[in-house]
Amino acid sequence: MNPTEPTDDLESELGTRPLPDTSGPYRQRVLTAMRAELARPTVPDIWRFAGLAAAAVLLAINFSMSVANDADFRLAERPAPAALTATVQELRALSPDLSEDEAFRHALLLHAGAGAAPVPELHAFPTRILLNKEQ
Amino acid sequence: MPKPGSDPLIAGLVEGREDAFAALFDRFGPSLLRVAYTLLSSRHDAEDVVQEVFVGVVRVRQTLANVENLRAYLFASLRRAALKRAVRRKAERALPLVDQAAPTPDDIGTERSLQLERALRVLPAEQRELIALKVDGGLTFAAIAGLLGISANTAASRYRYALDILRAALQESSHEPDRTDRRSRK
Repeated sequence: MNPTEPTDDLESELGTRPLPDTSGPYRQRVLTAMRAELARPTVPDIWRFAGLAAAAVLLAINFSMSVANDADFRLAERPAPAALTATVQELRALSPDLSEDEAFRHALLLHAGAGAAPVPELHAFPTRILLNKEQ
Repeated sequence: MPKPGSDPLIAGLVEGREDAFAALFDRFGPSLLRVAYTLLSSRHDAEDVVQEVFVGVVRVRQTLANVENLRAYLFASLRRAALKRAVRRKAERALPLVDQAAPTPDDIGTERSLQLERALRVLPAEQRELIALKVDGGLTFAAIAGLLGISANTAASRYRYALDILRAALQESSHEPDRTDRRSRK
């Protein structure tokens, strides 16, 4: 047969053509790489935990800094309902020393309390904030 | 944890046993390397890609218990890795370096083999992939269909078509005008 002439049995010819094999050094190379990967500590779980912990810490710091810096999250820029404005004015009249923001905050709390269903009293956290602000 | 009654090879892989990984390589490595070579037309790239696949398997060994068909899983991984490598190589080849696709006698041996390799490299990537998976990977049409997301009948007909084109390319390269019209049949 002429070596350059295509045969009809192309499929078997393709199947028997010389191709790279996995014997010898290449097998050793891959097995060594796999062994190295096996020996590596499974860091993904550790990093996932570290990432979650870091995120939680950052969130806690962020919230606490927001509270400490009296961040209002732009609530003051919203147009207040008429009833709320009236309450603020009443509070300012009763206590002229109260700042605009503080009066607004108290008014919000009063309105929220007025509309809330009876629930167990959550006293510790908000009270401490208000006391700290007054100091 | 491996499922009860699952493939002992998979159980060994999940447990991280070295002998299981060696067995995995011995069972699937040769066919994966052949397919990678046909897909990438470079022994160097093919070896790198197959190594990537096996190292990747080691990395995700804990999840292998959920793998129902290890062969399909490996070939799917190989396809992804080969595609990534081909894209990277295409970008690299934008610079006029070495024509890595050019077959060398050192790689493939005889003159006829050289001719076959050249014809394969002229085939569109999709058709070369079908020939690689069927001939070099030894996959059934059903397995190829699952891998490519097509029906088994489509895989079979595309394979036959690819063979026809390959045959025509070989005939053209050996200057046999009486058989060159096969390409236009489909």
